[in-house]
Amino acid sequence: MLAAPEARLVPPLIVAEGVTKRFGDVLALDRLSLEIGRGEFVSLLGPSGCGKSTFLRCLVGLDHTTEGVLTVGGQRVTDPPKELGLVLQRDALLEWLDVLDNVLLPAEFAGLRRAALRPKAKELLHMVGLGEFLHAWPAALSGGMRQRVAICRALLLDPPLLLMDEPFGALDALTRDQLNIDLHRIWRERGMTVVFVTHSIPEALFLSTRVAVFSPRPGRIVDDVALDLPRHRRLAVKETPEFAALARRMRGNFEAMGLIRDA
Amino acid sequence: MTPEPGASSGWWLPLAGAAGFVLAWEAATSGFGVPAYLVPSPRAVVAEIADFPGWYAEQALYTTLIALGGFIAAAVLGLLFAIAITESRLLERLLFPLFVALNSVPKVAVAPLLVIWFGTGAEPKLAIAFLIAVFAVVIDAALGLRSAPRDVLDLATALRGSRLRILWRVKLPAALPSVFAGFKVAMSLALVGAIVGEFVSSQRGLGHVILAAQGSFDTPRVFAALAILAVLGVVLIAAVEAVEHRIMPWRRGEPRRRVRGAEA
Repeated sequence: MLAAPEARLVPPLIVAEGVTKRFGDVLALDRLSLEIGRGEFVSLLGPSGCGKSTFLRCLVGLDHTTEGVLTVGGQRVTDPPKELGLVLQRDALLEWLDVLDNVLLPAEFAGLRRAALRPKAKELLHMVGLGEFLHAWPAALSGGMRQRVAICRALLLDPPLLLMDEPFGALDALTRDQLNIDLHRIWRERGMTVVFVTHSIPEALFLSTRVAVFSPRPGRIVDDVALDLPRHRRLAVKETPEFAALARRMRGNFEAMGLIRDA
Repeated sequence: MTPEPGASSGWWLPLAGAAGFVLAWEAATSGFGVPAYLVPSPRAVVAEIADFPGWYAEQALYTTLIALGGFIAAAVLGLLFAIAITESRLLERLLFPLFVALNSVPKVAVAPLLVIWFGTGAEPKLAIAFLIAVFAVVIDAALGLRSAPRDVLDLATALRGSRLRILWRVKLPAALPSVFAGFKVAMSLALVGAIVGEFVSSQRGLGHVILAAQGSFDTPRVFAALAILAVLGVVLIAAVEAVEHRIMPWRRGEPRRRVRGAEA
């Protein structure tokens, strides 16, 4: 699934070369290099505070790299790139807009006619099982439902790039599994590029075509693994020997960095 | 959270509280034989108002219009000033300390000056009501405008929203609860300001009624004006709350339109 040799002819969507980010004296990212091709689902896996979210914020243009080159679609990131979907850990819904208006927000901010995108927004909400809640206030929804709304909002304009910063980190385990399944289906059907920040090994393995493992701060990539798992995955994939082997390898990374000590 | 339905949600509870207060007042004045020139009984106060209902209504209306005028000016200009200092660090550094300093001057002390500037009509009273009320609006609105959640602002930035759009769609709605808290304080302060203005120079209004009645030891009249002021305060705050309720339907917790089967 990793960029095969012939795929290298197509320039990657995201290129990071020697990206360094300092906050005052704190080195958050240390000469990080990474290429992500179109259509890949790449998880950035690492412990809390390792700089993976910082890297994502740099991609979105919310933070700026101190050194190094960071391009999305061949353009250096200075302002937030166009055609980008963003999902954050906390759903960041606007409490004062109903569900449908929240999903339509990117249209409004892009200066598009909301009416033209209303059918699309409704279709997305139906797809994630929220067709009955178009006009509910966010406050009336559960955490999982709110995060589905946030995902619909990110997908509204069919962005070729979807960036997700621990989007399911605040959800209970069952809801998280369900949203993993839903997200994976959405990605299979739409084929956009996804960069997914998480600290959950099973989540990263279940969702991704490739996992980049971050070291603790300052963030560097210590392992970059193309996953040899079927493209169409069910939860049962987690019980396969391949999955177990990959999980072992990820855990090995964390043990080597002293982040986990087995009993 | 919304209060549980039950004994504590009755519409009659505030009335019961007020009725209890009036009964205790009546009992205290008649029971201890307090002379009417010190504290008149509630019955005497009601009788006083009932003797001149039109005249009291006129005075109350004048004071209300002054208070409302001052409040509206404070609400609009205060909100604009709060937007200016929260959107521009430069303006904040330049103007906010000055604003705080000017606000620290007692308005009562400025009132005579305003009479010199604006004469003895409605203008100086409006100005005092405005000056007393505006501080609460600015402080609370600025707090509210800074309270928009970080992640929502990040998302709005990632959506390439213009500053104006982010202000309108994100910061202002997020600020509304604080803004209305400020409005309520400002409303009652504007009423205080209107009375202060009428104390300094006036031929009309409840402040003038109080001052004139004091000169002739007409305590029931003073109390009548105070009672009307108290009711006025409650009504004006209730009006602000009604607008607040209307403008923020999402805080009522009820669906905007009917939703079927809204589970948790």
